[in-house]
Amino acid sequence: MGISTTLDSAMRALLAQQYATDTTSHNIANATTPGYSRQRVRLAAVPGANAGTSGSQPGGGVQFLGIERIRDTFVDFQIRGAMQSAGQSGARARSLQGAELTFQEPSDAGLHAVMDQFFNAWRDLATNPESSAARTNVVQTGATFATTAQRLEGGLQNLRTEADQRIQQGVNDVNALATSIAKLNGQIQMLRATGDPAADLTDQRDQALDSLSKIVDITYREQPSGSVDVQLGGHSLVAAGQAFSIYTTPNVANNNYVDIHYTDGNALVPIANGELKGLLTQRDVDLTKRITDVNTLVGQVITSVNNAHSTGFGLDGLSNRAFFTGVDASNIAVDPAVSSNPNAVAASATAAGIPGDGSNASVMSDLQYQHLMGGGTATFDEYYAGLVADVGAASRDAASLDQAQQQVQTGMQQLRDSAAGVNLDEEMIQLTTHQRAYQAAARVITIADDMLNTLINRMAS
Amino acid sequence: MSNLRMHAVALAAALDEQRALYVQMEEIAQGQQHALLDSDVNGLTQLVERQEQLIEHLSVLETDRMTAVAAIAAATGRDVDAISLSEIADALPRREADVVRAAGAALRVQAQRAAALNAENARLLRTSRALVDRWIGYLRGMLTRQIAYGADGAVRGTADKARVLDRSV
Repeated sequence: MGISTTLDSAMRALLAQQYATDTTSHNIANATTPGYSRQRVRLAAVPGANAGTSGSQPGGGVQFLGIERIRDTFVDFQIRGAMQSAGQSGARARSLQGAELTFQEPSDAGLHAVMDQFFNAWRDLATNPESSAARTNVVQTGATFATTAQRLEGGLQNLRTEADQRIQQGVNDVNALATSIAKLNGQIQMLRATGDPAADLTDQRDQALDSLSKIVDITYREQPSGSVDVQLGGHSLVAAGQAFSIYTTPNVANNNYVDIHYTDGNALVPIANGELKGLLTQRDVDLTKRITDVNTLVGQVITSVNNAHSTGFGLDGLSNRAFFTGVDASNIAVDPAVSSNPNAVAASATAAGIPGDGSNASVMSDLQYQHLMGGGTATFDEYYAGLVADVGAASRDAASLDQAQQQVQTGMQQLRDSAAGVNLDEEMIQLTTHQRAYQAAARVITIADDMLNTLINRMAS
Repeated sequence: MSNLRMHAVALAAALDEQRALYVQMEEIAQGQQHALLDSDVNGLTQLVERQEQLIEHLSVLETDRMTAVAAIAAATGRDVDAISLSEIADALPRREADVVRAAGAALRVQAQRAAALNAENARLLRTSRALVDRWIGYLRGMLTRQIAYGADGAVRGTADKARVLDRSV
């Protein structure tokens, strides 16, 4: 074996070990970098000249084949599915928690308490129909009921608007991530064509895919060229180095809240999972139902109170007046003709009963216990209690589901990290094991070396 | 058969057997190189154990060879410490001389091949060991939180329990 071949193999050994050291240092330096995949150097022996023949020469050292990322693509796929479900459940849980807080139950500021106060005020008036304080109290508690109802309905509408704004932000995020993935596709393809595995750029692209998976239910496929194509609802979102965006337009039929469209063809984007699905469901289904239920309750209160009030007589002897204006919780208010003149409150059932007759006030207060809701099956209180309990139960269920989804996602991420993550103690143990093995090998190789040198010298011709 | 011929046959047999073992030595050295490149520590350890056994066997064969050489040296009146294989062959009848020369040449070639691979593995080991030692020292410092990176990338000691790899230190 010539001197030049010997030097060449020594150089290759040094270069190969340098790559291995660089990779180790890269792993250690990125031990806490989110999304970093542990890298491993692939080395191979360089075959000697005439390898495999009877005249073959000793090998030419080592050569560096490349750096591979330790990553389980199957687990990646499972994790992204888990992220989509966690994204949807998380969005729903947060929104329902907001709805629960909006109801402010149980508290003195909640609709249940102020509705109770309103009907109690009528009870007081029934026993003291000439009292201006009692009349003023009826007006004031009626105004408080109206304000509270409007606040509740408005609060729930605000949650819908908030969900809508987050949907628009989500669409922006989808477009930004798709653009990033397309750009990384191009860079990765170029590098891989030169033999560089582009490990760090591939890690960045995987992180972008993770983030995108949290927002919407994408599907993706890696091409032989190294680029990843991404689809949403069967339409292309990323194809090699090109990104296709989605956009929003206000829907007049839905309170001007946005619909999501593909740029290509303008069809609506069908979203089945992820944060956007959770937000769309909240905005268009869950919160809409709560608002409808509140409006149904308050609308019935308005109708029932007005019907009873219009048949009674105020202290001024006039009848046929409404107590409330408006049709539901969005616009309920005490009629200005009553709020500016408490004597207009119709406590008496007949004109002849004025003053002293509070029977109509009794009728009004009795409305609280009549089954006027749910097709005649529930009182106002029972209906509202059911509505509140439903929101509470839905919120707890959503929180439990969210917690379970987060646990699944965490478990899968731990599984991924056990393969791909860097553990400094593990690196240390590996290196110490190497050190001991190298010590033992070096000792024996030295003995063999001495023996061979002695033999070769003795065999000298 | 004369004693000289008998010792020549014994010498050639020892040379042949040594050559066969050095073929195994070469195979083991190749396996060791693969194990070093693959960081296969268990594989490397097993091969080193096999090499140790081979060295013991070769030591026994070397005794057999030197016994035959000593006998031939004594029979031909040569100095056993200074006699070379070609001088031994020169002292033998022609047929036995050719056999001894051929066996000796084959053994020398095989021993050189094994020696070259061995030397290469020794170099790999030295390089790997130096790097491993350096990294172990570095990791020990990091794991005992005695060093951390600074914002400029330089390594420095930490007085407090700063988090390892905390670049804000």
